[in-house]
Amino acid sequence: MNEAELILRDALNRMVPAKSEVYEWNDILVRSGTPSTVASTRRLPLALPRARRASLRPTHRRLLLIALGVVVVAVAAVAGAIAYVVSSPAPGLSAGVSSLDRLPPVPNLPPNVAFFIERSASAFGEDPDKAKERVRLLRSGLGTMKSDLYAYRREDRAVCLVVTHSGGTCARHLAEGSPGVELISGGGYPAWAHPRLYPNGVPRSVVGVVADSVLSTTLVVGGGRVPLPIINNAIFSEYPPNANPQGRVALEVQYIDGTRRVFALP
Amino acid sequence: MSSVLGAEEEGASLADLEALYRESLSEFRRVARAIVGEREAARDAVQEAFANAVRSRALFRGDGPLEAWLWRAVVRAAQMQRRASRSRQTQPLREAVPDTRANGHGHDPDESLRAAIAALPERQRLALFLHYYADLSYADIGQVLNVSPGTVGASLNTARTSLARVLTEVTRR
Repeated sequence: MNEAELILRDALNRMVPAKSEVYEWNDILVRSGTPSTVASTRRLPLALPRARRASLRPTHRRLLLIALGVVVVAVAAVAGAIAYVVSSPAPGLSAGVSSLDRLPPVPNLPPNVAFFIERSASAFGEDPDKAKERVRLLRSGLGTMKSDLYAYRREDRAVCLVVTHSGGTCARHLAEGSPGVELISGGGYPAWAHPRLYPNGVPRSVVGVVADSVLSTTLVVGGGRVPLPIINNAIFSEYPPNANPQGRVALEVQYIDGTRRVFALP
Repeated sequence: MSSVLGAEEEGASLADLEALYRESLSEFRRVARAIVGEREAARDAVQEAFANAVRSRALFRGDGPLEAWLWRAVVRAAQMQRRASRSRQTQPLREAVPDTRANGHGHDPDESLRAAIAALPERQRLALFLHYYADLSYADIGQVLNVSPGTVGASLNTARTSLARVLTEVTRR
């Protein structure tokens, strides 16, 4: 290893020193919605009879203390996991999308929407005709292209959404994705829309479904903030015309439980 | 990087994921921290990357090492975390420190190196982090970044050359 290499290693080590890290596998299981397997622990009495406690040899006493320590740590870990679940917004759209229950069915779906519903329902092993009956129109006349946002709930309660003139997406399961939001972001480049129909182009936009757990949403783009109204559990916004296309874009989500998250958008 | 799953297997088991998490946690978090810049955000990125890996473990096709798949997930999560951090427009702590460069005293060479690394193209920067912070070989880095080992070597050499001027400054310190 030459001197330059040593200097580089040394400088990099100073910048990000190696540290011992806390092992948090249970946190990962909680985040992923996977049930964790808690090691079975023998139930121990909280206090031993005085006479018997006195007769314990030091090694036994040490073992007992270790066992009690294990129980305390296990209880703390479970309590921590429960606290995390309770204090975190529900994953994906698992908090519910009540507009899908409230709004009426759509009698005649546009051909492109019907095609998407048939394909997506089949992909998840569902009856396309029954899926079409569950489709609801959440928003219409959105943006430059006057797009409509449709969504339906699958039998496993995960949500698929489709936007006319744009595209569609489906969560693979109810808890997939960022907490409370399922989004499509696109457009903003010439090939997105026909130049004869849209000679001034179509700005980039974000559209999606939010869960009942979401209180408000704000698009943060080019240093500016655009509040997005939630109507029928749906949000939409075209990026402001002066937004820097290379700039960072994010969606700020405020939940009804008081927590707040920021998601980077592509 | 050892292949935990054979090429013929599909899907990753929880035990495999946990084993790699346990084995390389320090390296995962170190690389994530180099990408994100903040310790807590890096921790969150690694946790989120593994949570995603746990959720989508059935999708692991086994056409490459599981470790490379996980490294890609961690790098991606860290990059997203960095974008999110930037969009929050928080002031990094070091910017709150009065700038002493104007009077020629107190110039921090590590700060110069940090800026020089930040100015490197993404691939060079990631190759640098994966090589020096995770001790991955050129072949392993290639699998993470989807490039050949030769390209990794070339990227690292270019990065070293770009950093040479700043490194000389560090030596003179």
